[in-house]
Amino acid sequence: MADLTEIQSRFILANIGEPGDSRINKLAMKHDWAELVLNPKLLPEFYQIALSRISIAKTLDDFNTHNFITPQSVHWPRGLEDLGTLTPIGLWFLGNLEKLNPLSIAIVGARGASTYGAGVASEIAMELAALRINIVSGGAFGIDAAAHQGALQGNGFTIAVMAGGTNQLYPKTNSSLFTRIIDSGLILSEVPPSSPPLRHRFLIRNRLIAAISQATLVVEARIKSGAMSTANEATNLGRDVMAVPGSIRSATSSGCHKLIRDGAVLVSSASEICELLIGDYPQYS
Amino acid sequence: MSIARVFGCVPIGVEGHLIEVESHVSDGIIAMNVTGLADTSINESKDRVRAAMINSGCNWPQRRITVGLSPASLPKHGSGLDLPIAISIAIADKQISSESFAGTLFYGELSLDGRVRQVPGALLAAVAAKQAGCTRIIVSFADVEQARLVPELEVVGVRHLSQVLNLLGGEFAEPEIIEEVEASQNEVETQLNDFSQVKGQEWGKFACEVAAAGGHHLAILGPPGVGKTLLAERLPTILPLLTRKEALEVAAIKSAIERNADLELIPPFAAPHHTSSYTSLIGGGSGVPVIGLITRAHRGVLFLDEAPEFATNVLDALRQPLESGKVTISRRTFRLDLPALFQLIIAANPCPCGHALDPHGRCQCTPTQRRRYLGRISGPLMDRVDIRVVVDPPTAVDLDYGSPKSESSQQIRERVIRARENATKRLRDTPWSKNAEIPSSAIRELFPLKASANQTLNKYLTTSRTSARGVDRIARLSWTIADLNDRNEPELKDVETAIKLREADGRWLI
Repeated sequence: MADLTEIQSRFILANIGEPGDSRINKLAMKHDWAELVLNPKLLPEFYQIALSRISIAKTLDDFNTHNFITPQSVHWPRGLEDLGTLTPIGLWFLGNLEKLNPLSIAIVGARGASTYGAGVASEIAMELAALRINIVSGGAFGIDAAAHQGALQGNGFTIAVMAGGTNQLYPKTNSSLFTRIIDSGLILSEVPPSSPPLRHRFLIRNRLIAAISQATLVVEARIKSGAMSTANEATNLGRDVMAVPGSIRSATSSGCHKLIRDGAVLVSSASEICELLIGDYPQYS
Repeated sequence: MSIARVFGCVPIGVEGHLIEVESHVSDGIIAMNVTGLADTSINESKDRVRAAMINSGCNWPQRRITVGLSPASLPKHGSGLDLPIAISIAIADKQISSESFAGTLFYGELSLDGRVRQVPGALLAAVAAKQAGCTRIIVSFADVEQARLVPELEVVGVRHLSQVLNLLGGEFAEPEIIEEVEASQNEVETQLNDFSQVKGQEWGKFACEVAAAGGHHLAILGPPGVGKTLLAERLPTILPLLTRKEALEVAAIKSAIERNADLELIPPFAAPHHTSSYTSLIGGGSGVPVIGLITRAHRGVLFLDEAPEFATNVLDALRQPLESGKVTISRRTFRLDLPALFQLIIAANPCPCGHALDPHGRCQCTPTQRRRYLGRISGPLMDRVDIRVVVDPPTAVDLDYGSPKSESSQQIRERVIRARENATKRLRDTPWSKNAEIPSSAIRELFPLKASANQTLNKYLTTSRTSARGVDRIARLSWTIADLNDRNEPELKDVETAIKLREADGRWLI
């Protein structure tokens, strides 16, 4: 027992904790990761109880470096470090971690999108993905799905960050899309594979989408929507926020217009996004 | 031998079937029997016929009466056989001679005092008479106009049974008949629908115009009270008038359902309520097959307001008629084809509360609720709808009474007719007459688009996540727009407009 590695310790703590809890990261600054697991008294009471309920050996049966990464990995998305103590303890994944490109952009938006928004999301994602920029989004229908589809069409790399576990890919309507993403892209999740996609996990998940990416693009969103929270996270992390405008009579664009009023950059094409992201628009090679 | 044979008719679906009505009066126990799969309305006719004959001055034979209706295997219904049954009994009982009724079809209901009443289906009876080679039809006075729609057939209108018997050589006293006043025939001055009454909604009106010109199905999305119904109701006013042949088909359907059927040249408009049952909408049902509302929309417009509220099986049942222009009702003993070639308009609120399109965030529905709501209109049905349009509430400028009057339906109809002529010219060597009828397999092959237009279409295919069939629908729309603009082939801008129409200018919710 005494020879727990850091990654194994992180795995155990990630299994029992709830994402978005900064206390473990704070404790890990003072103590060894293995020490935290082996000496539960150091942990907050919730973790002590949870640890006493599980068998460490049994939990480690599921441990596998082919589906779990930690900040020690070379493939760990470096942007996540900007989250400070809110950095995830580790991430479960499905797909092709090693194909990750250095540049990422989050393309997010509302589930209740219009054909305009879905078309724009697909088109921009396709062009950016063809330039070897990772597309990062959630897994919802609407803009998220459109962005992934565009990226796949552009033969690019796309990352879906899920609120539930990797065995609980939600929504089921998108399951064929998820299969394609696992095939050529990446699915990330902060919670154990069998965790259900609970409501609060979506909001906590949004910080990952914002942090992984150098910039966040909101294609279409109502004022009250999850995409607005992702944009907010991006602003707090000091990332660029961009928004696609729509008609002032369009309810589905009202959130984008609010973002633009609050200082987000108005963009209308993939080349404008590129200029902002890398200062240049490379030609297709 | 006291047997008499005359012709009657029963309407089934939208066709009249010639029936031979035979009566046999003989010795035996005093009774009257009707044979030949007669339903209740015919069995009750025994009592009506008896009373009517007695009140017309005939003798009611105190003998055994057998009435045979043939073909015996055809289920029969309706009270239109009253008149031929009475006549055949009178002849069998030798109260009138049998010579003067050859080649005559009788169709009418009898009232107890002997008056001849109007029955639905007089037009169908006249058509059946003509087809069977009859030269004369005797119907209720009120049905004369309807029966006269059939050419080369002598139509005799009567008010009373005694009048019929006298026509056939009897000598009976004809009572004076006081005209019945039909409540339903009160002429109510109705304000005719016209597009000039619609303020604003230019994009919606344009969508209607293209729909009319190409025969495309149309879907309208918008908040409550915005004018979706207003637009849909006015589509018939810009459609080309029906040809005489089409109008006769429509009149025949009307005749099968209600008593009055005049030749109406404006295409029919049917707007069933969303609680309508499967049978009332599609037709069929148990027993005598009911004619559905979609058949009443034949050659016209079927408008489904609040489409997501309709039962799913009802909406899905529309797919067959949309494909084949008819609805087939199959029963153990027979198969019935009812015509149902209509132009479909679907209207829907964007979500259960109706405000999902409101930019000020009045909608309180969740994204899943919104998605489910529109998702009730199944994909295969929506796929057959070429044009989608989102309508906004009219602005204060639109509603300003000082603003210039909108175009009238007549002006729009002239352009529609011109476009239809252009399409007919182009399609003259094909089995189709409207752009919407061209199948996907033919549209790209027979009517290729010019290179620039094709390029736009292909780019759209790659970026919009539309199916190849969706792209074919845009190609069809492009031709209709070109027809409306008197162009020989679609320009790039026509294709762009077509994409806008197909995608509701990007505003359709997904």
